[in-house]
Amino acid sequence: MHLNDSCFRIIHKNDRCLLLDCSTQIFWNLEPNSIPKELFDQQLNLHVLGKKILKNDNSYLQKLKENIKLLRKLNFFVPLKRGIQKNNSYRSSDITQIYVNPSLDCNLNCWFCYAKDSRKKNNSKLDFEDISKVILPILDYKKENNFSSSIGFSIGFTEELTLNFQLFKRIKSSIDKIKKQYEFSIFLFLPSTNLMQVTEEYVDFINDYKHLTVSIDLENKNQVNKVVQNIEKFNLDVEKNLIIPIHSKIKDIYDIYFRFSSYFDYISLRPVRVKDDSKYPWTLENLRNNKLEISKFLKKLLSLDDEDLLLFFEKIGPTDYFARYFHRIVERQRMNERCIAGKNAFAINSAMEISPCSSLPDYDDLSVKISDFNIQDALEKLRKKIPNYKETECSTCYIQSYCGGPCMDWVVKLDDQNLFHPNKIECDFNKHIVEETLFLISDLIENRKELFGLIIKKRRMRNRLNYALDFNQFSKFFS
Amino acid sequence: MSEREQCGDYEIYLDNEDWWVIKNLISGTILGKFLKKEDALDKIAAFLQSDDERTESESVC
Repeated sequence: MHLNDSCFRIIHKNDRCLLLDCSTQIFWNLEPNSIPKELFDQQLNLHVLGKKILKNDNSYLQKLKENIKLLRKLNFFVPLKRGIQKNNSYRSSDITQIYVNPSLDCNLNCWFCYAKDSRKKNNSKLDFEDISKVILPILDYKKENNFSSSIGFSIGFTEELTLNFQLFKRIKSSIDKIKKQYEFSIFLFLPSTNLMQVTEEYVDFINDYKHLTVSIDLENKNQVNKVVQNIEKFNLDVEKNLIIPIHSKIKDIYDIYFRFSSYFDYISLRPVRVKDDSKYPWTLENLRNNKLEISKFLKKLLSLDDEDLLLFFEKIGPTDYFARYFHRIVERQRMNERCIAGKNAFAINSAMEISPCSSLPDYDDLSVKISDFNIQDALEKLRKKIPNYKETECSTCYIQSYCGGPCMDWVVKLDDQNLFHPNKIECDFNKHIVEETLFLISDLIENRKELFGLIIKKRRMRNRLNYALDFNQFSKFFS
Repeated sequence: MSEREQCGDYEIYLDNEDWWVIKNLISGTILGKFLKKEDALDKIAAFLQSDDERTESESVC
């Protein structure tokens, strides 16, 4: 074992202290007053940790040292696996998700819209024949290469679907007809809607589909009113999801979760990736305030009584940013890659260009024109452009297992367009959520174990943190 | 150590035939029997570190 490759982080916040083993994603509570301040919020390996502790002679640290030695003997501390997967740019790999965006039509102009720049550049549209000519070669590519994973098509991610619903229905019917020709499963996903206008036909479709996702701009009062008004048109048994953007100046996050809770089954808050010239840019100063708001939100959660906290966990949606980190920490899930965009997922826009995701077609270095409907050729060219984050600072980062590496869209939007380095603002934002969530979970396990069990059960999670959180007590098991 | 202790999803105990047994409490299955307690502990440490079923690739955006 290479001692230098083990990776620890002593995370200190207010009067609490955690030791995180980045490899196993196991963490323990430490006694903050006995830990030298120089060790706080530092990335440490076993060698450095042992050496620093050796220099100190308080009894808590001596015990800690003995226990680290004990666990070392058992080879407990494994080297940090370089979790960010190498990108096989040149190899053909399976395609599991395709976004086809026939148009950029919308009846709103949300400040955070990912199609904003594209809309300025072109107003071209794809018709049914164009879409068929891109879908079929993709299915045949999978068939020829014997790829067996299912594939999902999302149609109309950059438009308001209700404006183009007839086209969507035609595509659905066409996919339903050809499904049987392929051994792998083919799914069609409905994108979110803004609910500004809903026809009877759309309502009937959703009532039958039983799933609805609405995206809302909280600052657009007209939209808020329309959403509240139109949501009533859908049957009670339709699962209703609401997506709300987290921007850099968001306030009172907890209240936002509950503002629409009587109308929707699940609420998901997700950060929006916007440029410096946006209404709420991700500047360093905004980020500082945003982190304070996140801390305030998690503090608020801890102040809730059991019933309200359980209700909160029942209401947060599956795509909620905080919920995903919460799950990942409790289940010790290792994210080997942040996103399948550019690897197994691609987006095709109305100008017939292919890019890793629907948000990226305007960045020339990450999009390729599809000539003569030759998808395979365009795909090969695009795959060569996708960066490999394995060799960046992500490979030694203490949250790499939780985060999985950078999002290309964050990098393009926030940085100097140097695709090969993660963006510091995104990193800081993610680190803050991971750290705060670690403390929240630690608090729940220590002080409200029964409630924590109920939350795990409600969210159908597997608890992989069911060991003694006190490091010395944990070590006792192995003594 | 007492004769039956738990760490994570795993329990370790000494059976009637003097084997140190590791049991997965979730599945209820016996994962191994060891003559020496150290070997059983070593195995539990390995289970806790294991990547099995821990990989996730769902994107966060």
